[in-house]
Amino acid sequence: MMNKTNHIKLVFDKATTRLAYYPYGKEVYEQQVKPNIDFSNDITYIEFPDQIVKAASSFVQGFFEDIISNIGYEAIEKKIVILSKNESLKSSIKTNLIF
Amino acid sequence: MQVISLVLSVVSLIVSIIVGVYDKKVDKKLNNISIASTYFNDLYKDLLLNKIPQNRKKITITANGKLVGSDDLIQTLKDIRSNSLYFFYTDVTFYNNLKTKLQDLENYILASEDEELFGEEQTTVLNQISDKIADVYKVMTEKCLKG
Repeated sequence: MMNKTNHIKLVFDKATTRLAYYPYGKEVYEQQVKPNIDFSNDITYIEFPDQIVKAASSFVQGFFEDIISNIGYEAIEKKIVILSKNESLKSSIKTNLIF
Repeated sequence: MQVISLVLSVVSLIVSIIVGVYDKKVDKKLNNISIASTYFNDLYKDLLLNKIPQNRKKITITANGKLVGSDDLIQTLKDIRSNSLYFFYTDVTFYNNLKTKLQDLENYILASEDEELFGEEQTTVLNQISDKIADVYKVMTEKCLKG
């Protein structure tokens, strides 16, 4: 049986290279992810554009709050895959989710 | 005469009780401060005395107005946050207060990195970073002194 997946490509102003603040994380999630995410899918790919190089811990926490309350911390690693050209962004998102 | 003697004995007893209770409170307070300072020494000593000042020095503004050199300071803020998890269980008010100050500084630095800073803006941003670092120290010093 095929895995059910979806792919969400985030869009930001071209001048934005850093993501900060908890309310902004929630806003991006509400506007770009929530309408497109289906928690029953096996995997959801969330793609950050190449220009984004850093995300503050509070942005990450705001962005993932609803996802965590829906599927929990443990399932995030299996069901949510962050795509980014910047490895440091991917690893910092993982670290910031823990604390 | 007997009445005076009795009154003096009662007063003496009351004073002894008050002094005893006060001493016990002071002892408890000093004990708490001693425990807190031991934990702070183990959890934060190098971060507070060396890493923050050293890594703050690496932040500069380039000729084209970009704030750079913050990676190590941001990492230090994350290290402080992760070292503070003990307080999540023992003093959640302090933990949340500290986390807010650390994230406030991190947010400000990252948001400033997307700006082009010229003239007075440069001084303002660098001063704000120093002020927000001072806020982090203040929260931690207060906790250490409070026990």
